[in-house]
Amino acid sequence: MQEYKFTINSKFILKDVFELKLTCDEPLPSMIAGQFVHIKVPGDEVLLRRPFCLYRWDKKSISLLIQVVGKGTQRLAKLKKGDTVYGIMPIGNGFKLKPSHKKIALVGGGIGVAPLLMIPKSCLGREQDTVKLTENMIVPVKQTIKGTEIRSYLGFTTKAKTILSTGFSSVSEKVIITTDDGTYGIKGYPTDALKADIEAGFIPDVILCCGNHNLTKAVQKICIEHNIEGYMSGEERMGCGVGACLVCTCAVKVGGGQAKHLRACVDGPVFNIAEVVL
Amino acid sequence: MSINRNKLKNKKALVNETQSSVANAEPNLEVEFCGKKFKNPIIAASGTFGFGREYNQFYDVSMLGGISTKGLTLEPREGNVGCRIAETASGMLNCVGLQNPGGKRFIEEELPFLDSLDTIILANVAGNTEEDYVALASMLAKTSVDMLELNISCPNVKEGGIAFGVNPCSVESIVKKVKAVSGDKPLVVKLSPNVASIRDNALAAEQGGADAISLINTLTGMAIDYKTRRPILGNITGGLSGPAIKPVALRQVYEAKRAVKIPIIGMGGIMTASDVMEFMIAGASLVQVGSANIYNPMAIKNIILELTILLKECNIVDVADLVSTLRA
Repeated sequence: MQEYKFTINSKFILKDVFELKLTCDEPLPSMIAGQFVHIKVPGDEVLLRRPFCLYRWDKKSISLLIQVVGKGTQRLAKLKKGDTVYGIMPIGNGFKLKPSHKKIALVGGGIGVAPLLMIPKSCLGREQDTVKLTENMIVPVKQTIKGTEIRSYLGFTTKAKTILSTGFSSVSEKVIITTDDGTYGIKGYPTDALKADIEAGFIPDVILCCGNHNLTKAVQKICIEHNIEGYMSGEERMGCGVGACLVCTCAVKVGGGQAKHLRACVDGPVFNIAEVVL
Repeated sequence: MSINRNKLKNKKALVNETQSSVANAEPNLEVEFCGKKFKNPIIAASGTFGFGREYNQFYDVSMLGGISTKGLTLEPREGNVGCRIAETASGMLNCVGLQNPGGKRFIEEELPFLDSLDTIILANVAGNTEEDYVALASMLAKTSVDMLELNISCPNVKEGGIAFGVNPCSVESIVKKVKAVSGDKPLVVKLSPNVASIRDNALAAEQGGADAISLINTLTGMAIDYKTRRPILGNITGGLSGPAIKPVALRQVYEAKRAVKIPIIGMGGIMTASDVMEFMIAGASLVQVGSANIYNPMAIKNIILELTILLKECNIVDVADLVSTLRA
């Protein structure tokens, strides 16, 4: 874990979401899906750093997908190509797959889909097609490795907010998009689509999930009901991001025991979904 | 080196020898405090630095004057549930609620690492009851920690903590009881700013037998989400820290210093070396840096490096010369 100096290489804006590609002169440490960078917001107005999971990584650059929600992200949205930004990484444990995980379900909601997009590459070596934020296009999977099958269940509020579906389709055998208002894909939540698939006989070996509290809670319920292994990355307000200040804790029943307050930053942010008190 | 060369080559430099060596010499950062030698006046504040391990990944934390540990209680504590942090203008609120491994596990699991560091260790002692404080202090007094910091000012726990820190009578009573079991460990009493008179509480700590006082702990505050009409913090209220509280902290250090003879550790929103100097001018012999660590894990390292440069710029040869030098 160390601080890196990044230069904004490119920026793409889609309404209240923007993508930043950050390049670094130093070689970057390897990072897996779910790990994050703790970004220093430029200027003096916002003092606490902001944590962002990566959605793309290579040795020279990282890409972040950021939703504008408050002062910090508003300030970051003002960054331009060529600007400098500092970030501490790699932080956290990330999503991992076991050899027994052949049928994999990715369940994401809103901006929470971004870190999931890195899973097929970081866990299975599946290369992504060009990732276009807005394009809603289903492209064929390039490679199927070791008999694995990935199904991605992605939920958004409305069609205009649907992102990364092309990217997911290039690395998943099946992509199911849901919107709350039914303007694109299936009307409803991604967990509805997952439940329907389970009832139709697709029982995932593992469910990996990232999204808001309601989504993670719904996924937890499915995991417990069907006895499916599951991992989640949730949303906690964060302080130092290095494990010292204890403000980002989640109640986790490690090994099914009594709930302990674990640090989302360094003990997580990915936890066994059955053990998290939601 | 350049001074020596000049000395040989330039007669004028010889004449000015004393002056130039003063201007070029590294200022002395060492401070003697309660019989302990601090290599510089900067201590990592309790609750922002864990037990030092995390920051040691970023720099050698032995360069610090000292480390005040995460607030310890006799028994392990899981802390408060729900959201524990809210960002505010120039600051932050927290309500961690003294999550810590308890005295026994601290001694077994954390103290060996702290012992391996070349810096002064202050064990921050908190509790629910006077008995708890006394039991933990006497347990820690038998260990290798250098000093005890009595935390009677945590605003985030329902019982104990601040309950002992508001009323001067209860301050004096608990300090007396803890001092009696502290053995040879100097006892620093950490005061709350959320009181009627900081002078009275500083005096009460002194009368109870404190060897020093540290102030200020966080100011009680709250944050509300206007959309949901709910408090942002799980504990509803929390402790405000960061640059927002620096003026309050300076004023209270200044007032406390005029009330007591024992030395003071000043803190509250220190972000830079000039902040350190301001606190020392107001009356602090040492300072603690807290929230700055949360904003930037390299903060204290930067402040220490910056302090040397700033002292040189101000022609100050010994940092201790700054203490209580506020001019009229």
